[in-house]
Amino acid sequence: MSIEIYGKPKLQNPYLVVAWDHDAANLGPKVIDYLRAATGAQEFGEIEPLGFFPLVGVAIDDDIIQFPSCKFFASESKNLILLGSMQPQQKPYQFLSLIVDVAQRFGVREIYTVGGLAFAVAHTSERRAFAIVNKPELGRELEGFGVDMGMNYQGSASITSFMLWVARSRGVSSATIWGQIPFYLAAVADPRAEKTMLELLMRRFGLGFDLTGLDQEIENQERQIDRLRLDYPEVDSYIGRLERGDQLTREEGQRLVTEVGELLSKRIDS
Amino acid sequence: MGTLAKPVRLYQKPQLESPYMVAAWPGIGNVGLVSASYLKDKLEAIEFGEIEPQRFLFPHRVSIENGVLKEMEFPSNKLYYKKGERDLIIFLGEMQPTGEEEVYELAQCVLDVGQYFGVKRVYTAGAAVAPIHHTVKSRVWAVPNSPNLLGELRQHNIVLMSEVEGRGGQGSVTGLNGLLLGVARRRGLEGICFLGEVPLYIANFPIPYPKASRSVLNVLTASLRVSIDMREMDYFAEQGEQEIKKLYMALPPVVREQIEKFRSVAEAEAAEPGPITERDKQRIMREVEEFFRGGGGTQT
Repeated sequence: MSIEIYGKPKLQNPYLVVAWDHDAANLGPKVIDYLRAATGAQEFGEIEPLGFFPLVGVAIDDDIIQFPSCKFFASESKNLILLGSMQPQQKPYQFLSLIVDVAQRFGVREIYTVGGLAFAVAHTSERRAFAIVNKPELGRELEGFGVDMGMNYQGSASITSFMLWVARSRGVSSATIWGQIPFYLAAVADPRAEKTMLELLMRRFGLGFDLTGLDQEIENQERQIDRLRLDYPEVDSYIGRLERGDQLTREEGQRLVTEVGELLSKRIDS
Repeated sequence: MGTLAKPVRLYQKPQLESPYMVAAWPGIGNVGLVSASYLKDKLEAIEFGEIEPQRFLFPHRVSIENGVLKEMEFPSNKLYYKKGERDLIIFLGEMQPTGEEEVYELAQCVLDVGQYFGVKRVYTAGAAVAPIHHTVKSRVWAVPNSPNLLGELRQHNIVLMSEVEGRGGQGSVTGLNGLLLGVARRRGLEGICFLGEVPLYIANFPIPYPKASRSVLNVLTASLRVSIDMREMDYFAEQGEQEIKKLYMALPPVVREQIEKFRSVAEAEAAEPGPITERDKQRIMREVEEFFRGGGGTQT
C-alpha cells in the first residue's frame, strides 16, 4: 500500500478538495472536474490502488470499464490540491491517513470533502449547502458563507465522517459540504447544485471563475423538465406538490425518478 | 524506448510501429485464449520474449532423475509479434495467477512490455455467460475502457452492456481480461474487451467453447484490420458443437427440457421478456452440476 508523489508543486498553505465517486448527481466528481479544468491543475501524485480495492477484475458502469483512480492534482496559481477518488473498499483508515499525509506534507490549511445528498425538494428551489466540520471554529466561518450548520445525526458512519475524524486526529481542520440535490435528479445531474457548490468554494478560497457555462446547462435542463411537465400532467402534479412543500408517496417518488431519469439520461450517440 | 527489467525477458527487440496488443489467458470456455492462439498461429507471429512465470505461477511439472531434480516446468507467458498493416504484439498466458498482488503485478508487466514498444491500445477477450442455447450463434459483447471508443465499436457486430437484456450497462469482467484494461486505463492506454457468449449451463465445465471464440475472432480481426483464414476455426467450432451435443444428450430429459427454454429466449425479440426466470436459471445450473458430479448418470 503506497503513495507515489512524482511532482513538486509550489504551494503555500493550500486548500485540499476531495470528492468521492457515486454521490447524488455525481456532484463531488463534477466539482473536482470543473476545478481541474478551470485552474489548469496538474497531476502530481497518486495512491496505488493495490491493497485498498479488490483487484480480481473490473466493474462495468454505463458500458465502460471502471478502475480505481486516486490521483492528486495541484494548481499552483490557485493554491489548490484536488483529489477525486473511488471510496476504498479495504483498509479505509490507511487510505484516509495517506490523504492526510499528503495534506500535511504540502501544508494544507483545510481539507474539504464535497458531495451531493438527495432531498425531497423540487428542482425549481434554491439549492442549500450543509456542512459537518471537525472543529467548531471552522463551522462558524462557514456559517458566514451561508452554509447550514444545523445537522444532527446519530447512526452509521460514512467515509466522509471517517475522513473528518482522521484529519482531526492529525490536527488538520476539515469540513464535509453537502449540496442539496432534488431526489429525482440524483441519478442524472444537477447543474444548479454544481453552480451553488462552486460559488461557495470560490468565495471560501478567494477564487473567481466564469460559471456562465453552467447557467446554460441549468437553462437546458429546466427547459427539458418544463416540457416533460407539459406532456405529463402526473409529473407536473408531483413536482408542483414538492414546490409547495408537500410530500410524495414512495410510489409517486419512484415514478418521478423514472420519468425524469429517462428524459435526462438519453445519451447522444457519438 | 527505455528499459525493461526482470521478469521480462526479450530474446529480440523487433522494430514495431505503434502496435496494438492482444493479451489472453485461460477462462470460461477458454474463449480468449483460443481466439488469440488461433490469431497468433494464422498470422505466423514470431515469439520474441516471455514474462518469467516463476514470480507469478506455481510450477506444473517437475522431472527428477535418479533422485536429482532435472527440470521444472512452469505455465508459460509468451510474447509474439507480427509486422503488417497494423503491427501486433500478442501475449499468451497459460495460466492466471491466484494471488491479488501477483495478478496486479503481471498486468503491470504485460503493459510495461506494451508501452516499451509503443502500444497505445490493448485488447483482451473472454466469455460472457448468457442464457443462450448451444445451437445459437454467440454474440460478442464489447466493453471499452473509455467512452471515446464507443463510436468505433458501434461500427462492428457487437453489443454493448446497455444493449444486453437486463444488464442496464452494468456488469463486471473478472480476472486479468478485465484487470489488464483497468490498469491500461490508469496508464492512459485504450482498451477493449470482447466477450463471446457461452451458454450458462456450459460455463462451469472445463471444456472450450470454440463457437464463442469464432464470434470473437470475427470482431477482433475486423477491429485489428487483419485477415486470416477461418476455415480451421469453423471446423473446430463445429466439432465443439458436436461434443456439446453428446454431453447434452447424456443429460436427464428433465434437465434438457429446462435448457430447451433457452432456445426460445434466443429467438425472442430483445424487448420481450423471455420465458426464463432467474429461478429457472439457478435450477438448471444446479441440476447440470449435480448430474455431472454424480458421474454423468444414464439416459432414461
